[in-house]
Amino acid sequence: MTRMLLAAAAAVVLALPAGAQNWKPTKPVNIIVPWAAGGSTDQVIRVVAGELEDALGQKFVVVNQPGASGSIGTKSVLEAPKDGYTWASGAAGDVGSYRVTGLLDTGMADWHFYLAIANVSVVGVGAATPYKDFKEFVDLLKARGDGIPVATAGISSAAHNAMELLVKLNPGMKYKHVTYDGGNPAVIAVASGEAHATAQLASEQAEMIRAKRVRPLAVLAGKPLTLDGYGDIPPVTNWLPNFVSAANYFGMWAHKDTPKEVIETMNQVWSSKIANSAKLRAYATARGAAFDPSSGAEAHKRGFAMVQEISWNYFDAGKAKLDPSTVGIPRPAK
Amino acid sequence: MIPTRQSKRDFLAGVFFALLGLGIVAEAQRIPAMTSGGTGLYTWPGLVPSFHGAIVLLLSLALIWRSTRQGGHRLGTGETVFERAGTPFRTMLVTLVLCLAFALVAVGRLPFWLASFAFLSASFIVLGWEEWRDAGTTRRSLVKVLAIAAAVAIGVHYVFQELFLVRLP
Amino acid sequence: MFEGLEAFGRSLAAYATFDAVFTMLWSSLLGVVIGALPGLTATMGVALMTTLTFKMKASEAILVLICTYVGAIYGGSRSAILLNIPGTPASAASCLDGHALAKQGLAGRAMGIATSGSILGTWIGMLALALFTPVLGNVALDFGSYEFFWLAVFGIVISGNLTGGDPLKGWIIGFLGLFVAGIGQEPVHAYIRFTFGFADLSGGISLIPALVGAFGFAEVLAVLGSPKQKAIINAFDSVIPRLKDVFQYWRTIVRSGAIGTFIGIVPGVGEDVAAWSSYAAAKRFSKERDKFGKGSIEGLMAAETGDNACVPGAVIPVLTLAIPGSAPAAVLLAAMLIHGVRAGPMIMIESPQFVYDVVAMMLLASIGILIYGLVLTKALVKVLLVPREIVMPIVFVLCLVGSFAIASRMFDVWVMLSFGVIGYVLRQLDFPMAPLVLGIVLGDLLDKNLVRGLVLAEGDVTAFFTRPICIVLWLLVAAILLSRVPGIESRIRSLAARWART
Repeated sequence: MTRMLLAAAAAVVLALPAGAQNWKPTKPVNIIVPWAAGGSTDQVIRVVAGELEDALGQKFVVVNQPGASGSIGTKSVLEAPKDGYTWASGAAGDVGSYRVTGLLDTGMADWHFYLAIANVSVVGVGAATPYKDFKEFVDLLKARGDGIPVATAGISSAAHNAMELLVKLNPGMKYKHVTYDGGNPAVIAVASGEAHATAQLASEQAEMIRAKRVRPLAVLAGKPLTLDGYGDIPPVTNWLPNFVSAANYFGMWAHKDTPKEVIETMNQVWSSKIANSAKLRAYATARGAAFDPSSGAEAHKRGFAMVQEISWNYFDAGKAKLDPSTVGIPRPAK
Repeated sequence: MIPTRQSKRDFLAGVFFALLGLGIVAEAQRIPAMTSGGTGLYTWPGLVPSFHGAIVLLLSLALIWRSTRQGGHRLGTGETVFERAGTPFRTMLVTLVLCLAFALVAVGRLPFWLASFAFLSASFIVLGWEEWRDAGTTRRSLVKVLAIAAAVAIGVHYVFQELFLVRLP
Repeated sequence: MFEGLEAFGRSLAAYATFDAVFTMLWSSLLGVVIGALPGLTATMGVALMTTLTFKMKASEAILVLICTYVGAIYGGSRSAILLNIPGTPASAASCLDGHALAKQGLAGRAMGIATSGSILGTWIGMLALALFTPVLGNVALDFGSYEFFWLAVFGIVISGNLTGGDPLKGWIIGFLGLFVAGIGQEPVHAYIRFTFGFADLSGGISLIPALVGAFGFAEVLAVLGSPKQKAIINAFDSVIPRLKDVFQYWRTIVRSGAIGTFIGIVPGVGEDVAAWSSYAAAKRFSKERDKFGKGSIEGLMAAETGDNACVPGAVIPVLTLAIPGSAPAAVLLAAMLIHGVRAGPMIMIESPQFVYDVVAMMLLASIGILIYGLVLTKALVKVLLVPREIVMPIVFVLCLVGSFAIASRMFDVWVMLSFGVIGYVLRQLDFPMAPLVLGIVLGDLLDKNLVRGLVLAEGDVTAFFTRPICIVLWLLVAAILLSRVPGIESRIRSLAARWART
């Protein structure tokens, strides 16, 4: 009996490493996109889902659960069985700061991150507006900013975060915050002239920039952004040398209690398949995003940088529900 | 004047919606003004709901007024307000109970195909029993409805879960 | 002009292959099935197909998506007519007269009307797509917050036509619908209102579970709670669309097609609004206004023409501006991006042929509708012969699955149950359900655009009255409201008559 138990234990131990690399999903896997179909998260995740299907030989189904700034869909993943068959997705910066925005009781530590592309914000203005470059734009916002409408996808959207960051770096700068139903409607508002500017993601503005209906003034990053069919967008550091901003990484994540073999298999798929995906790379290039997959500790580190930035922006603007440092989010080092 | 059943129903509905409208307006007043962000009072989140609530309240008062002119407020006299006794009403109540039991109790605890099979066969039997008994076809009908229930349960499972990849509860 | 025709011929020739026709056949059937099942909407169908066609060639994948889209919008009418449950939100307006016709034993004819309406609607939209894409595309940019506000008000005012026998009750329930749309997170401050601490409510009440509950579940309770009736099926009822219906109501068809296409082009409003506005307009201009809601062929024709014309309409700004005109079109745009088709203002310069490819795909999809309209209808009508004790529990299972399927949330099932019970009670009290649904659709549009407009204008309401499109819209609203005031309408008529004489 003892011998049999020992043999069984040995078999389990021996089987583990093999099993660890080989999670074979036996039914379709759901990826919950907590935003509407067709949005920036949805687009990236659909490409990723297609690649994962190839790698794991099982359907990856994208389920859209929009509502309450992505917290509805994320909440339902938190409540789902943690068996690797239900994944959450979106921008790492959002999920990590839900505690600070008071929308949902979750943080970075609750998840294993798999990040695919980095989206950057671009300050874009309507073709008919007079602003020639970023400096003129900031000067005007300083002079009579509360009369200049800036379109965003709402509280805690990419453009709102970016604008708050710019306000912090340019004391005295103001803007009239006009909220839309999503990134794309915000960009349309700029193209139609209803709003003067936006700071939504480059991927959301790419088409309008190429069509010359939106004029990009600066990319909120340290180096220029090359957009297919347009050219280079100058970095904001040309005007604000001390501007530091983390990149906002988009991807998917599983709850921390997900079985180990799922995580290990996905780590491997991520570094072998996703990291070399031609389709994802082509998608990123066309949309003005950076193709830069990561998983494990590296993904966590990249996501956390953005979480720190967003959380403290909120806190400094007096819009946070609590002090970020009380939930393990220290102020970003300068 | 004998109040009609319609006017009594209108009176009750009017009172209900008037209270609802009032409730909406009252709840909206609890929403803070939120002018700290530099925006005017017109962005107050309670503005539009207060308006809708007030309109519901006004229209409901109009309904109450109309029904009282027909005597709807005199609830004690005349016909009953609702038909409660008849067989159809009982059937409706039984259906409602079955549906709620299925949706709130069985779904989530049992696999969906089993839950839907159980619900369908139970409903078919409860709704059809008397007729079968009168026609003397109890056994044959029973077999038939169980087969239908099984086919539908499996069909729904197949179409949604396998074909359209929707995970069922 | 001839260049366009030639280009269209080339596109058509490219898709006149066995493979393309086969793809069209299975994808439009899938679309019809998705549309007919409550809870599986056109948006969801197109999104699902985007993932499934990931590895296909771009031209083939987009054909699948367009056929699914067109098929789903059409398929919604099947369950609307037979079961009084809108298969997609777009077919809610078809319930009113479609199901009334079915109850009179004319289910086959009703489905024939829906088929011809859908095909003609698709063609009218398609014509606009082929001829005016560059011109019409820019309309999407002319609609800002102020215009959307008036569009919503306009919708609310014309929906007064839909309030049924007792306008007062219709208005009460309509404003309740407008209120319901505002539950949850509000757009400006992200303040969460009217949830009473219930976290699931912070995302608001979704349209589909509410719709499936108010129409579907309430119908189950109402049918089983009423005395038994023998189902009537007209043995001589033809399922073949009648040319007579088309000729008789050609004005309605052209008007509904134009309204549908226009609503399609305008972003943010989709097939549901297109169907309702076509229906309301048809009722307003109809000579047989009393028949509406009681089995009007004209009403059903208007709703079905309107929502299908919206599909090509919604694709116009996708192609010219990369702006989706409706929710399914947003997914279609995303799929095009994924497949490397660069929709947007450059398309007429970079790949003009693609516009005609899309027109050819629409034509193929309309052929798919015709085929399934002819082939499936006869079998579908038999649903009405099944005893209600069997049909109704099955319908409930579909209501439950449908409300769950849209977002895989149990909360949506609770919403469906609540709206079903409330809907049943309200029906017993003679409250119509259509204004409730329309209120939920328009409430979101109204609230967000009013507040956004006020933010833009810094509280100055005159901004809502001065822009050109706004002037047209508020004048229309004012005219409709004035015409309701007793005496004024007849005075206007007599004035018009006097002018006509001189």
